[in-house]
Amino acid sequence: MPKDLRTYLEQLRRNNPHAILRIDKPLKVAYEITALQRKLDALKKYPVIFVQRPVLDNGEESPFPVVTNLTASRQLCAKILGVDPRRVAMEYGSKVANRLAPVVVPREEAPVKQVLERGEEVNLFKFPIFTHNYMDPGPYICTGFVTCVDPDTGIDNTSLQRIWVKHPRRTGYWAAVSSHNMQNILKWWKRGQNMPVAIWIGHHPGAIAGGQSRLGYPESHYPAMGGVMGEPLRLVPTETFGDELMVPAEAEIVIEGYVPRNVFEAEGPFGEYPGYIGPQRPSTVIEVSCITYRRDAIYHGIGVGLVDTLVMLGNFQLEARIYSVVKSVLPELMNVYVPISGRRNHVYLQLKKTRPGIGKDAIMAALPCDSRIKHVIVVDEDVDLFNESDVMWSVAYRSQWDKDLVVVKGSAVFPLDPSLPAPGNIGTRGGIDATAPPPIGFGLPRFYQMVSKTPEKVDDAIKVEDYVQPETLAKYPDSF
Amino acid sequence: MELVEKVGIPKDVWVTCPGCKKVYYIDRSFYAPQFDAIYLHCPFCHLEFDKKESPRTWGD
Repeated sequence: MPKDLRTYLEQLRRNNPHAILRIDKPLKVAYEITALQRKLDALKKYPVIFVQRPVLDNGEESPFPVVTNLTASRQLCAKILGVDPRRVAMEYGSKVANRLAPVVVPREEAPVKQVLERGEEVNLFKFPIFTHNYMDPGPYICTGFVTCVDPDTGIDNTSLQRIWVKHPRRTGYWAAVSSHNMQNILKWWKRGQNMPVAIWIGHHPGAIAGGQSRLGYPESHYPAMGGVMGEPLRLVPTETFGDELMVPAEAEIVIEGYVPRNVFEAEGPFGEYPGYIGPQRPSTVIEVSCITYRRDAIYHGIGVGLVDTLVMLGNFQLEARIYSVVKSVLPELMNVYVPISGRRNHVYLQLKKTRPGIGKDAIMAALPCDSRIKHVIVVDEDVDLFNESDVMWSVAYRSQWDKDLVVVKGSAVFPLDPSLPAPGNIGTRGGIDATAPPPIGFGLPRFYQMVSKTPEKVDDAIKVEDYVQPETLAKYPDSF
Repeated sequence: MELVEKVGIPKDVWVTCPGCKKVYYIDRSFYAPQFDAIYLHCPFCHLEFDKKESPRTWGD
């Protein structure tokens, strides 16, 4: 059976039933689902949330259930991909590199073709699309993978981009100027044509992760999606454009339409992944020509600005890319972590420091990997890269900011940063080398103060469980 | 133009909806020639209005 969202949910239900929060009470798509996700985020709990009875803006219960928080837990996401959660940087890249050519299936074998609606029949408001934040102008599809084609080469590109449903058959569509999809839009418009587009929603998390891979231009994401999923992606021609624009056969919902030439309308404001509400912007639109969907479609939504947006929908891909680039120039690189605390703007690098200066070299190699990267912290091999308290300890006692700071002004940055001055695409990036000096010679120690610890034999002999029961231990107070 | 602490010239412009009088912010690109004629859309009351109709604007 081909992998899809349902095979994953069934696998999760069988192997990890405690990882699912199933909600049988009615819950509104306007703010309530996001509010619940936000509260769980604050408690640092990330179950997959299944809402059986989402309530639409018109007060009716949607026939389509909702799944969200699918991509929030790092441990669960790594398990889906078959990688160690602490080795994503090294292992995820090889999955993407292992491209599997997609296969085309006939229409009758594509579950996403079970229902077809065209023209006036189309009503996007029938789907339980979330309104997330108090200043959003309406419901936004945030798990819609927008697929379009480079008119010069015929090669498709897929990107997760936000779509404001403002009318039953018309949406706002913000494609960043630097995005590959925007490059395609401009090429179609230069030819005097509207750009054909298809938005697919809902698939196996492996396919979703592959769809977010950082690739060159023009380069199809479909082989990478198959590589990450571990099997070739099954594709089917769209209703409007035939085999000139293909979509995943196992998607839950597909929306087809056009980006009309030279049409810009106000879009937003919208609360984006940085956790801030971005301004209203002039954006392109999509005129919807038809939709197809599974008879019992499950709507996949995400909590925008919450952890759900970050882990497998950006951070994993960044870690893999940074590792690949920096390792190629610095073999001393051991690991990369993009923490959720930095919302894609922070990167922690771990080095085995064998020679002076490579801390700063690592910062300078990492910064250009993505325009979102703003702050890089480099630490030694004895620091737990995934423990932010340890990383900050390194900054506290292994750096002097007059010597160890790298600051790059006037760099091209991603505009979703509220601290940026006008015009909003140029900013300052940099990093801190929080590594200790390397040994001054082979076989010599590091001439740096040693970290405090009890003698190893004593440490090995004293076990907490010999002095306190686990259930009692769990009741002891925390601190912060 | 008044400079804002830390950001200098702000990239957002704050406008007031002439309908519901609520305040929100728009990107400065609305003032670029190619986008100057685009109507704004109040996220609160959904009124579409020309930015010149904003009774109070900051940062333009």
